[in-house]
Amino acid sequence: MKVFMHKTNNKLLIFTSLSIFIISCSSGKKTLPILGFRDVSPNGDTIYHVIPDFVFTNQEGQPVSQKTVAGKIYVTDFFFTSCPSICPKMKAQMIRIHDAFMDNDSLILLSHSIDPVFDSVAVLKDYADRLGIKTAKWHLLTGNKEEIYGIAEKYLVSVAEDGQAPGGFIHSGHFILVDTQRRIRGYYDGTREEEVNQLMSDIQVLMNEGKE
Amino acid sequence: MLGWPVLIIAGLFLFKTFSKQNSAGRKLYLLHCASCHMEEGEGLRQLIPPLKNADYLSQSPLMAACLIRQGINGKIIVNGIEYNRPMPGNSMLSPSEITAIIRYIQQKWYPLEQEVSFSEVDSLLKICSPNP
Repeated sequence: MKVFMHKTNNKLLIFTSLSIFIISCSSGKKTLPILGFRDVSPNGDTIYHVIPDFVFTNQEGQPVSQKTVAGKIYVTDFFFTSCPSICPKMKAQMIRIHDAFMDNDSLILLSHSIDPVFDSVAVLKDYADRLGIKTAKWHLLTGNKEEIYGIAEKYLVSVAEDGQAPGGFIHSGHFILVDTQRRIRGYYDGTREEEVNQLMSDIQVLMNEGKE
Repeated sequence: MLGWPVLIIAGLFLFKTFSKQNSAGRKLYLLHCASCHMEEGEGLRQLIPPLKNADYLSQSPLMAACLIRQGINGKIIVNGIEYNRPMPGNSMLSPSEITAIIRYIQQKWYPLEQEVSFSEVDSLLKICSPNP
């Protein structure tokens, strides 16, 4: 307190942030932060970090691009089918989201393979069939390796080939929540049930945001 | 009058030994098995077979020893469902660690069945076929 007392500016800052805090709480609605790098345009508007255009191929051999997710909220992650470490747990958690939002077309799921050479369309199809998932809801993606690793960077998660790692690859176990404008709104540990519960409630928050 | 404290100490000692044995198996299970077969042993849909209520495990728990050591590449039928994804082997696990894992699985999901012994597991591991 002593540090703050002798500077009027700090008092003002505390007052302002407290007011913002009170105002945002009193509105009674939870909002999600917009994550990632940001910039300011010449006219003073904030430019948020957005996921660039992309084209990959799903388990049916169909193209999946920014057009597929246009106007939708989506959850995405990175995995590979022969992964012996965290992937099965991530998939068990992703299935919960798949099942919970089965009849809600405003949400889709994208899982990128980071081993696209092995994970051909046929391999992904077999994996999807064994998981029992609906293609229109959950796309398992393969494609050009550089492009997949490139887009992982845009989602700000790490993926890499590593001969020492189980299965030959290391990757983040995050589920990334992306809004209808392709802005990142949250990261969740895809191996943990509690975090995925949080993700599912945050999806509802985003859906309500869209209705305003 | 000396009876009670002695009984309590003996009880504590037994409890500690028992839970220690369990916790080694549990630790190994969580480290080497749970990522795929899950903590509760349910597996994952038709990708990864369950360890809980699995016919092959209740019929011949010892079979798990070679599977844990060598993994499997090809089909396996569990409860009438065909699974066909490779399972990596764990060549660095010792016979006693493999015994602890199988016992943990048995204690957790097959509590009424006879637990495998170290010597059974150890002698089976010596004759596992090189490529199952």
